[in-house]
Amino acid sequence: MQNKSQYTDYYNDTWTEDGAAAIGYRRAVLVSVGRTVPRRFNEVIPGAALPGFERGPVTRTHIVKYAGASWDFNPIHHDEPFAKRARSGGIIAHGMMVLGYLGSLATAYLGTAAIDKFSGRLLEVTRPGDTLRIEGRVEQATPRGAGGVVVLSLTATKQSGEVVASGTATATLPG
Amino acid sequence: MAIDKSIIGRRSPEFTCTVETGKIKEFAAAIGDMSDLFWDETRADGVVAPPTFSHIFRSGKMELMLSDCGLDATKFLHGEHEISYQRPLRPGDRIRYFLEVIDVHEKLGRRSGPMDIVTMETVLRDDSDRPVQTIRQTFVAKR
Repeated sequence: MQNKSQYTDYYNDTWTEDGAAAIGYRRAVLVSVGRTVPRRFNEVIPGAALPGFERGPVTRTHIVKYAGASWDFNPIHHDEPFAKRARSGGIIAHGMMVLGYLGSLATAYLGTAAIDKFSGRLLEVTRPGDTLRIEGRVEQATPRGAGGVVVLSLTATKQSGEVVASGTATATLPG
Repeated sequence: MAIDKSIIGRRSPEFTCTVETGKIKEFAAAIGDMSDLFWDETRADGVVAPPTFSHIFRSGKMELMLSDCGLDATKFLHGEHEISYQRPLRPGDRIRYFLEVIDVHEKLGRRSGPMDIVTMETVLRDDSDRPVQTIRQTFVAKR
């Protein structure tokens, strides 16, 4: 398993970072991360921490990749001269990219369980060079029928300790 | 100067879009998510779109909408974002939607002083006119 994670890191840090690897190529050498069946309510421990992860250091390549994937070409995310003159004072990551990271944490835990609601709030901007720690926990777990409803709290925190985004995901789990 | 509340109820034109497998994978790659849920087309129930995927249908259109309301889109930053789901989006879903201004209000920020907050809503509907997801997003501008 150790080798596998080093292999993953290698592809994370080199191939996709410089944009050389086709998306499908990287995927072909990896096993799935996260859950692919529904999280069951009887497995849920109220207050438990979710298995968190890091994203970053965020690069301009990551930001441009998100711009293309999301069709969001606001120049404050890629055009340095424009961004310097704008309110952002330089290139910033898309807020929705960071909320996407929070969504990843939720789906990695919930699997195919039905998400009823996702909400996120952007508190600070993320700039190239920032590394984000994505963490969460089970905030509430309420039995309903054979299963129950869970509320997860989700946060993205910069290396400086500043929380850049917070959110919640509410989902209905089978028993 | 406060924003004219008469823009509440203003709607964009209606847009249509088809959810595509390749776009789902491109989006998952951009958020660094390699889960089978978004990549493995051989799964019994197929791939689904990540929870924040639907935002891509609003990209750029929200800024145009603010401009159409006579507001300076460059002054606004994204505040809160909320999505309610009837089900996840899947490849082949043909969806129809428009953007609507549903609220305008002011708030006195502790640090930043008076702010204008505009809330927009988008309901994504499928071919049978059933709602699939409802997205609400606030935009915040300092005075």
